[in-house]
Amino acid sequence: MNYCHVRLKSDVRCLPEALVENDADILAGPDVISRLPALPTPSHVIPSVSIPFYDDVQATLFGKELLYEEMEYSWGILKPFLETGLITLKSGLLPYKKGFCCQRCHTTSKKSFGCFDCFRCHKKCVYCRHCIMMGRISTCSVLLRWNGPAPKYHYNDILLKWDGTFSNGQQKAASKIIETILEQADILVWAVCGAGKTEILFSGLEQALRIGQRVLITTPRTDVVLELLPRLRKVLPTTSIAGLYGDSEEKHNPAQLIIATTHQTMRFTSTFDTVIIDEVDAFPYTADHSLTQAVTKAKKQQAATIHLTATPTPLLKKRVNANRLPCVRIPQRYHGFPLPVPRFQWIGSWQTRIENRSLPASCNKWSQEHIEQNIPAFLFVPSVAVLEKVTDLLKEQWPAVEGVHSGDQERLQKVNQFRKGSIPLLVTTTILERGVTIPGVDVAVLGAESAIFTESALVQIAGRAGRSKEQPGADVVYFHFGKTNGMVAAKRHITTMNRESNQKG
Amino acid sequence: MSYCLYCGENTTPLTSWTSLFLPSSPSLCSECVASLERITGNVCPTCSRPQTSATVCEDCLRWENSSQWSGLLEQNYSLYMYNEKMKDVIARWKYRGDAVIGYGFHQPVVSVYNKYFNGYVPVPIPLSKERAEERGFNQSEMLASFLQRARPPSPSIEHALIRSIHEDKQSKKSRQERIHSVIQPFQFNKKSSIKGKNIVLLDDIYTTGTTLRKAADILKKHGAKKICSITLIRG
Ligand SMILES: [Zn+2]
Ligand SMILES: [Zn+2]
Ligand SMILES: [Zn+2]
Ligand SMILES: [Zn+2]
Repeated sequence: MNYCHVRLKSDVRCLPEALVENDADILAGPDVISRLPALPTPSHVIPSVSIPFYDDVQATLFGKELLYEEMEYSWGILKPFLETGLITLKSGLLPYKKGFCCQRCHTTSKKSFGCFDCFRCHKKCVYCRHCIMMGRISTCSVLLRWNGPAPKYHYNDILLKWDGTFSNGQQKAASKIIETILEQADILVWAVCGAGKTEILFSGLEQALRIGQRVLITTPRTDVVLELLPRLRKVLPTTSIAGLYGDSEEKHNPAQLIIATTHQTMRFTSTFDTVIIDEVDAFPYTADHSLTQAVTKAKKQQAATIHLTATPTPLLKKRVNANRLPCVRIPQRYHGFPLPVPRFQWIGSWQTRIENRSLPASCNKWSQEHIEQNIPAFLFVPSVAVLEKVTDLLKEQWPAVEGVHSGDQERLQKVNQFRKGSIPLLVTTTILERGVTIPGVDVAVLGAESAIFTESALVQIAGRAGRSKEQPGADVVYFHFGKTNGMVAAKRHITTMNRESNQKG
Repeated sequence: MSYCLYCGENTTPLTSWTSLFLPSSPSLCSECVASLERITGNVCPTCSRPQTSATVCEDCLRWENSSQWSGLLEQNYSLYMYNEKMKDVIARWKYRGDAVIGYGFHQPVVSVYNKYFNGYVPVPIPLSKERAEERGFNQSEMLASFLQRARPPSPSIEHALIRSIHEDKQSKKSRQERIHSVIQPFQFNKKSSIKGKNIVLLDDIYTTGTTLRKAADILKKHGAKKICSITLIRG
């Protein structure tokens, strides 16, 4: 499909070739969309006549930029929207310096683009591999953008159903969050693992939603979306809430509160008044510059940004130290008990031992004690290859042991079985380093010296332990073959937070 | 530095000669290659099905006992098993449309061609117009293009087939229904010339062998000599 710039009365519109009625109106094209010059976005359009499917199309497209392939409507139905300027078209990829820039994920890195002989444009077509999981976007793809009024929400009856109590630290952070939302400013909420950081959002969310704001909570992990969704639906029963992640069915639900993986965030454009970035430092957010841009793209020019994490990145810390980003710290867990401090256990060349099909003695003993005493235990390992070997070795002794990694299709089931107690010990890669809460769990890291176990990863892993009020103490052990800076820094991080918490409390 | 086409990890390309005609010599990393399972050991000599002995399998015997289908497809050569990793790779290549993933199979497909079907004319299994529009590319076409760009190149690709009927979603039918569905989805492309030539068909997967035999049927009727096939996967 090729596209044209067409003069309609006093306006210039971009239309697919098939919708052009009069060739004499054509100002440019027909051509592949990326070769047409960009048109200025028309000022906001208010429809003067009723258009079939108006509400549905608005609900699908408002606040987002979607590929034509993602729309459930044909060009025929979309025609009046395009002619009136309610929907505008733009190219999916645009030339940028010597390469391209993906208009959805904003990637410009050369290795993210592929080239193929395209049946649609009959040319060599360049496409973005970086966001391919959301459907291929190429030099002949069009993005549709809503340029009409926002859908109306019933936000007069927003209701917060929560009557928990706050610790001092939580109270302070909650008030700061409300201030930030009202002032449309930025803030870093630095809360230790288990500080109850979801709860401190509640009153802020209520305020924002009540004044009609659209709010985005974005997190790198699907697991976190799945955990937050039911909790927020329970405490905000009258709010329209949608959860967007890989397989979710709610992609086109124009809810007032959106909980999305960072990838799904890429579909949105200048639409949110408040953005909460949960676990700001977590993979892939910092690993991936384009996701930072996705968040920037998703929020309005005037918007509040709340960074929520236990382990801020050096960049965030730098901004805080330079007084460019306000910060509120919660050094204490909601139950008031200190964070379990990790202990180090040297185990020698564990990799050689695993190759010879045995586990380091102290690690095996740790596993045995936990399984025999019915204490749930996480064993973190540095890679999928190690995971498979270690799981096999443990299974030989205790068949109920299981392993999970990011590519594991049964990941969610296994975590649930672990929660219920039918899996006594779960071997895992860093995929479960945050978000998952199991009462009374002890935690070990095998090969804590591996590069993947950074300070922040080790702090997060230690943070899995001792989260419940009933069992605040826990054993956290880093099995290692040589102490690293990361391990030492993680331990220091935890003891510093405990000291600060003592002084305040 | 170069990156694995599938997982994006750093990789040293296994073969440097691909760089002669592919600008960035894309390939799969050794870990990805290792998790794809090449078919080895005893297989059915007709359809490449892995089995305990190297005798013609029951399905192939059934094909050859049918007067309608016998002698159409001389031999199918499949390279890989359809394991979980391959399912993921195919899903991203074919359904998500990450076209360049196909380059990861460039070298293995070319060497199979050179070893077993050298000099055969490549004919890709086409997609219907609607499906081609939807996907934007045809994976079989891509496999065929590897042969033509190899050194030495194969004879020119013949687009001898046209698919006029929209493919059914295969998975919805039972195996029996698929084998016995008599609808001929292909037509002969009169602009091509295949008379007296040996043909190698290219497709991504051999599941029941019906599609390939229907294609072979048309080509035979229009004078092709021997018809074989290279399929990436034995499903
Ligand atoms: Zn992209
Ligand atoms: Zn194209
Ligand atoms: Zn790889
Ligand atoms: Zn066979």
